[in-house]
Amino acid sequence: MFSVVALIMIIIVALVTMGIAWWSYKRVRSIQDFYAAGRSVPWILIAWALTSNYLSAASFLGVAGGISNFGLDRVWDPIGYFAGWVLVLIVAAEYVRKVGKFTVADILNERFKGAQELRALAMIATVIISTFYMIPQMIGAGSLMSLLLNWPYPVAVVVIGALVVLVVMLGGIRSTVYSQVFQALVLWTAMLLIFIAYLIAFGGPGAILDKAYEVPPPALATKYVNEQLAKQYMPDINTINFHMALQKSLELAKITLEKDPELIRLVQPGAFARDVWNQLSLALGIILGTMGLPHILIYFYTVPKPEDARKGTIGAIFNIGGFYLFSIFVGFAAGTALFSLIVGWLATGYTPWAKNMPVVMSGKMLGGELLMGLAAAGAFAAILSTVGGLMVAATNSVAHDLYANIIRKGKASEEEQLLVARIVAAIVGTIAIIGGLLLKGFDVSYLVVLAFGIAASSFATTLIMNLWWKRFTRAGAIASMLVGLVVAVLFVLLRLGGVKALGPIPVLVQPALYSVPASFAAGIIVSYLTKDTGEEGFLESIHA
Amino acid sequence: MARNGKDVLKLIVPYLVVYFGMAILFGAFKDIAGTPIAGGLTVGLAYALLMFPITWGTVLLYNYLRR
Repeated sequence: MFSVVALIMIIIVALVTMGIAWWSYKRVRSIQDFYAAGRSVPWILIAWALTSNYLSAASFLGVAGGISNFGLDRVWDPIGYFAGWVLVLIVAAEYVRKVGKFTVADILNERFKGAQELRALAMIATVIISTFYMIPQMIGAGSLMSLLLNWPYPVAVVVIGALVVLVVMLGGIRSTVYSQVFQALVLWTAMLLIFIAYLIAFGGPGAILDKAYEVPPPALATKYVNEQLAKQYMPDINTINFHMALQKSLELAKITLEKDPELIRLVQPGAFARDVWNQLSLALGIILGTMGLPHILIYFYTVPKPEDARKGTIGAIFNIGGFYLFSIFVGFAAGTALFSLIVGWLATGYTPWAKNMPVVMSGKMLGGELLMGLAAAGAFAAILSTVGGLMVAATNSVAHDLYANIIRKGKASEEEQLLVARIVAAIVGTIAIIGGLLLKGFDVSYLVVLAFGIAASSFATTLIMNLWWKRFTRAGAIASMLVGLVVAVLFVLLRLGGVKALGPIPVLVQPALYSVPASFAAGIIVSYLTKDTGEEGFLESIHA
Repeated sequence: MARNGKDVLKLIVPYLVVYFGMAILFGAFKDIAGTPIAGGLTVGLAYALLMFPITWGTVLLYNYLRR
């Protein structure tokens, strides 16, 4: 599917992003500018930067896409990803700003001075989390641009990777933050407009849900609809309009429900739900994982004062919540109005289209080429912003923790650190591009689950104890991080290897149910066995 | 206000109970979650939609206590 309007809008997003990066480059005069934007970003801008940093293409296209394919069972996912921010706010945001400097390792090293082993461990965890999170983004970026604009997959991966590398190399977190503000406005506005267009078309939110009760989830309906029948009811995507699409969808849904009247509806759960243990593990991994993501935590360093970190997080929570609320309704509306199209795509083997294109197709159906172009630009902005944030987190950690502190032992000059940071950004970006090219076609979305699991069981657990527990010791910090990391990776590898259980312990979709308690237990036990609680008065100073 | 661990726990524990309650509802009580309340609004969807004001309310309460 190629659209000139979509291409123009994507080019505009790319050009504005590069313009912001160039503007930022002129203002990077110190390493603090590169790593922390000179600690001068207003809280309202950080709120928007955090919004687009967190909302990847998986959120922009995947949340509404998932709900439109699978129904209410997929609503739980955006709720989990939204709720995680409450912990970020209450447990971490302003405390991280109070004690940290440039990276997550700095938060730990502020209490346990000179703990190089802790810094190395935090650097390794940051690189693993960022890489595992970034490669699926690159693969998704390549696939989406192929779908949206007919770009060859390698071209899409290289163009997006190169664009983000340039942004990070030019201005570090400064250019990333300011370009993310623009990208957030694009993706948020796009989802808002599609949501409003659906409200007008259906006649209100209640009408969307009422109609959604008349159709089953498309992914379930494919068991009852063969390819021939599906094709009869598929609307033409070039001439699609709302009333024609809804009529065909309701007709096909009626035929499907006549075959099985007990079939669950789009607004009911059950057909694609996880069992309670998997659900609990996922809930734990998401809510703790969000506050352990390094590309979120390092943004708190960019504001002038700790209270700005709090305000920025609150702003992000409202933005992200609003976005997910729009997405949920867009998902149900698309699953209803585009039911016959999605069933047709699924029945004819166009599964990636069925899962990723409902938002873009909604734009086309409700607002023509213009709204479709904005939706495509929103997806592009979501990809750029998340990859940018991840690349900055990995770059800062390798350049600051590994090079400046571990290798050069704090003796590197500012110029040297800036040069190394830019080289590291290029290397990190190249690795992401190569990863995206080599792993084409592999379903590596599970790596994001791993990233959340590792973040939950290494950074989140250790940071909670570091920022809130007086008895926590240096050895306890190492133990909690190491044990959490090892248990999380072990269970993910078992899952990837297709192992169903480790003895009596079932292998779940997310390792957090095992790795989080293991990390806490290791931190607590080792802390009670050792004595070095770090800097005197550390907790008193941050909670004063 | 809301400065030490106990204050924070008083705020966050009820929120976590609501959050994990939803995870359990969707994982173990699918029939209840699928029960229609009115029109197309089901129990599970109503719970999901309520999470937004509950979350925003918790956040605003925390901010008020931190001032």
